[in-house]
Amino acid sequence: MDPSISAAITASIESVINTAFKYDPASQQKIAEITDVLAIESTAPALTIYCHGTSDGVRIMSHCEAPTATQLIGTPLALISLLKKPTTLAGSGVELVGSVGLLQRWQAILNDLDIDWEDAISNVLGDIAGPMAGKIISSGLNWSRQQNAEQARLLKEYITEELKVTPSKAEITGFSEAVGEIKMDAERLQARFSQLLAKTYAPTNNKDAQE
Amino acid sequence: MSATEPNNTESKQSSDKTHFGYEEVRAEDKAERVAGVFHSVAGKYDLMNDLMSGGIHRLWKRFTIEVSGVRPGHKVLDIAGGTGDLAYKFSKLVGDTGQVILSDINSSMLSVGRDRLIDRGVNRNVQYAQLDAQFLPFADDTFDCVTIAFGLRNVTDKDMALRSILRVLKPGGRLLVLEFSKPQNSLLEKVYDQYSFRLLPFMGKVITNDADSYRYLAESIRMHPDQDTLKGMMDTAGFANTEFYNMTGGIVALHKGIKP
Repeated sequence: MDPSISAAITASIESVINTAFKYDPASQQKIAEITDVLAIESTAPALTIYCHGTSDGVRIMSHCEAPTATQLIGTPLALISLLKKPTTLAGSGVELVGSVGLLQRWQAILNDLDIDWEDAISNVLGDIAGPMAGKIISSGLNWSRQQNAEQARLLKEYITEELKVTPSKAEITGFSEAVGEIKMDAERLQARFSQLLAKTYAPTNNKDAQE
Repeated sequence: MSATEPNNTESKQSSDKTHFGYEEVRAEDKAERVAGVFHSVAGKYDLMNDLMSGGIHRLWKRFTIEVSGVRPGHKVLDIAGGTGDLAYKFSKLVGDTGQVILSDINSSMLSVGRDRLIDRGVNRNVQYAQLDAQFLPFADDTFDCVTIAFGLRNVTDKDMALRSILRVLKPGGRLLVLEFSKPQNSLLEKVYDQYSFRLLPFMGKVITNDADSYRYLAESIRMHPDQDTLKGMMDTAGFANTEFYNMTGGIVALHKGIKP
């Protein structure tokens, strides 16, 4: 890829990310502490970008002379899916080379990003309309998060209670406890059986020995 | 390349003659003629750069910074630094423990660059020097990185400048030459020729009321050594691991060389 194009891509990404961090100083401070280089390699289109933190925010490059601490390799979609708080890379289509800790630090910072929308909008709309618009956006985002959580709960209930395709959590817990009790009963029975066998054969063996 | 332009091979010039655009001038006159051009355009240099390149010169410089590998504590010399685009970025990268020298042979350009950096709050780790790239006034093995962006084609004796840069670099230090070069696609080359020789002087006339300076710009670009020739010149000067990156189809190339 022509360096002009890759430089344009990295400049655009850097601008968007740093604009976001500008309105979340706490996250920006955490980013500044990340000096190790994370390489993100997209397989199609073939493009590798490198990033690390600076006091001005994130520095994103299309070429890096410093050694990389962590390398992520995958398709753009697979790489973006990492932002959705995955607990494992298994099945994600992303290959990781190097330090997992660095990736976790980046992930934690991006997930905790809390943009001050009122400040951001005020810079565009002014001191009167800005805070109002900012509150509306913040409320909208909170409402959206609550709705997402509520919809997930309702969907779960519909599948378990209405369709009865899967058991409910209480049923699974009860079943699990019952299996546990049966297992313990079986073990107790096995222990008693072993004890009885020992008692039954022990005197006979002694008599045989005396005779 | 225009059919009327002279051969761009530096080595074919007589020893006391050099090119000023397509014009052949005495070697001792070139610096003065170039100075006249830049005194004329200094005030609107940034505006013209943005207009002429569509802002792409910022991407070329961005890539140059990435390839420089400059990090905190480094000493960087920016030759022909003009309005200080590279020096500004370098000053952030080297931090308080590093040092950046912004230099230019032209006092008008250096003055614009210095004012601009001061206006942007850069004053702790940048020093300014008016100097000629052929005769660098620094001790041997001083710098970790030397850059010359869109300046080498204006230097009278490029080989002498390359040797001078090699001398002031530390062993392992790198030279980066960002300069207009030869487009790698014939169609792009034709479009570029039309743009350079027709539109560029017209824009110069409209914006700076100075068509001649921008005609010189187009001519000096054509007279500058192409990618492989410049790489060979760097090898001859003593640089190791020389390589170049073509940008925007070869309109611009970034050459890199390491002091062994």
